[in-house]
Order: sequence, then structure tokens, then C-alpha cells
Amino acid sequence: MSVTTTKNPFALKCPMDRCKCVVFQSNTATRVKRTPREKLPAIGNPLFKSPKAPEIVNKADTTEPNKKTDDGDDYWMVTDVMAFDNVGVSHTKDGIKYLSCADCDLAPIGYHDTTDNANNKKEYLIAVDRVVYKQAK
Amino acid sequence: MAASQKNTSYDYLMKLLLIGDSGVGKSCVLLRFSDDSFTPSFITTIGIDFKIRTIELDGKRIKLQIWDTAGQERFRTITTAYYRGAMGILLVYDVTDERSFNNIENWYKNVEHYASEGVNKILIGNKCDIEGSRAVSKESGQKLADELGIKFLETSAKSNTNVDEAFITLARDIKERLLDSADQPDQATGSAGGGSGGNSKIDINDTQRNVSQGLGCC
Repeated sequence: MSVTTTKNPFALKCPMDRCKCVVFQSNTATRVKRTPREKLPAIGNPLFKSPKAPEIVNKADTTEPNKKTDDGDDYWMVTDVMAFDNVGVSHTKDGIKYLSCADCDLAPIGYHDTTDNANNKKEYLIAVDRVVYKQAK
Repeated sequence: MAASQKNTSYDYLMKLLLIGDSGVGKSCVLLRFSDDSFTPSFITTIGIDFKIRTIELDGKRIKLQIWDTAGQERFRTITTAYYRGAMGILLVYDVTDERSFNNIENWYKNVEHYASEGVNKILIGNKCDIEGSRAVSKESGQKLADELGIKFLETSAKSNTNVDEAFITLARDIKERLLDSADQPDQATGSAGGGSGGNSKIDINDTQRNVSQGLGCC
């Protein structure tokens, strides 16, 4: 699918008020739709509220004519784990590595399916609604 | 602001290891915020394989890949494979647990035996739990570090004391060692000149395999 080439216009940060650790810089990740093989577990922390992506982040996606399709959830994808500024990578559970905030361990904010070699590349996926967005200064 | 890097988001990549007895709070050294009000049970249950941390040092972006031993230390099975490519090692003990402190010398021998020669090391006296009472004085920690000829810091993730400092100190030592061995005349450590020319970048993409050979650390 070459249509989804939108890069993240803002840096991604941990949504926790005390933390706000930078997950990655702007213009690093590609927005994609994916259906995780294992459902991404909910974030157990009661202080976590699913943040709403700012208008402009979603707007970047409206260039897609077929945006309202039911082909999975929205993620920011990088194919090199070193593209992250800060991230925790869990041990493998049922073929899945879960991604966490490096500073406060909030998890899971995303995942990496170690068994998925469909595109012949590794995909590290951050759920768009489990991070907050900040304009890089 | 640092010079903009278009294709790569970092200047250095360093693989670091946390070594020490189980229960000394190695994973807690990796936390900048440990907060009583929430229990990050999900990640505690599965466990962390490694973390990526990005720090800035003298205007350079340094990416740290920090590995935890994942409980292997319980079986003393930490061998060559784990140490492969490691550029820096944090030897961690718990200041409330004397046994973990006494074991540091064994860990040090283990490192000397398996890790590549010249790997940078730092001794960390960690206090993860604020309740526990101190069993190892700061002086004892410093004395041991002096004997081993390495640097020493006490850390507390609870109060966010020196956690960043520990990684920055180690990263700085590694950077200096790499620059020395790279022996690039235009890369004197003191001059933080902007010109990030192509050859000033030490690029190690596959840290886990290539680092020790690629750079010829000593």
C-alpha cells in the first residue's frame, strides 16, 4: 500500500503528565493501518486517558480518499528500532514484543510482531491514541 | 540547536549493559519516574528486553541501547553472547543489600573475562526502594570503585537522583575512548565545532554484532 505515506508532523510523547518522554521526533514514522494479531492489551494505569490527536495530525490523513475503510487501527510505524528516541521493548510473548515508555514504563503504547515478515521488514508500531503530540521547538 | 540531521537521527550508537545480582533494581535504574500511585504491572510481568534512550552530549545526539540481563544472572549464565558488542557496562548493587555489594567483584571478574577489552565501566549503588535501610555506605562504594579503577555514582530512581548522570558519565567515557581510537585529528573532544562532516560520524547500525570489530576498540 503506497498510499499511506504520511509522516508524523509532530514529535510523539508519553501521555502521562509527569513524564512526557519523547518517543520519537517529528517526520520519523509513517502512518499505517494494522490489525494486530494479538489484540493490544489496554493500558491498566488508571491515570491514563486516551489522548485525542490534534486536528492537524488527523488532517494530514484526509488526503487519503479511502480513509474511512475498515482495515485496521491507526499506528505510527518505523522499521528500525533505532528510529525511536526513547522506548522500552519487552520480552517476546506469543511472538509479540510490546513497546513501553522508556521513562515511566507506561505500556503498551505499541507493539512489534516478531513473526510478521510479510513486507520483509520489521515493523515497530505505536498506537496513535496512546501518545500525545508536541510540536518540536 | 544541533545541526539538523536529515537521514540519521543520531551521531553515536552505544550498547550498554546492566550487570549485577537479581533484585538490585537494575530495571529500576532504567526508570526516570517511579511513581507509587501507579503500578506498571503490564511491563513488570513481561519484562523489558532492552531500552532505547537518546541523550545529548556536547551537541551530539547519542543513542543508547541498554540491555537488562533478564534474570539470567540468577543462573550465572551471563557469557560471551550477552557481552558481545557491549561498549559500556553498569555494575549495579543495591545499597540496602550488602550481599549484592560483595558480589560486585565477581561480576567485575565476569566482565573482565567475557566482555571485550577496554569496555568502559561504572559502579552504581542503587536505591530503588526508599523504605529499605542503607547497608553499604557511600564511602565503601567509592573505595571499591577506586580499587577497580572505575567511576562511581549512587542512584535513586525514586527521587530521580543521578540516573541520567550515570548514563551520561558512561556515554562520555565511551565517546572519548572511541574518538581516541578513531584517531581523527579534526575530532578533538574539546572543540565542539559545528561542521559535522561525513567522516565524523561513527555509524554502527548493527550494534549487536559489528561494534567490536567495526571500531576496533583497542
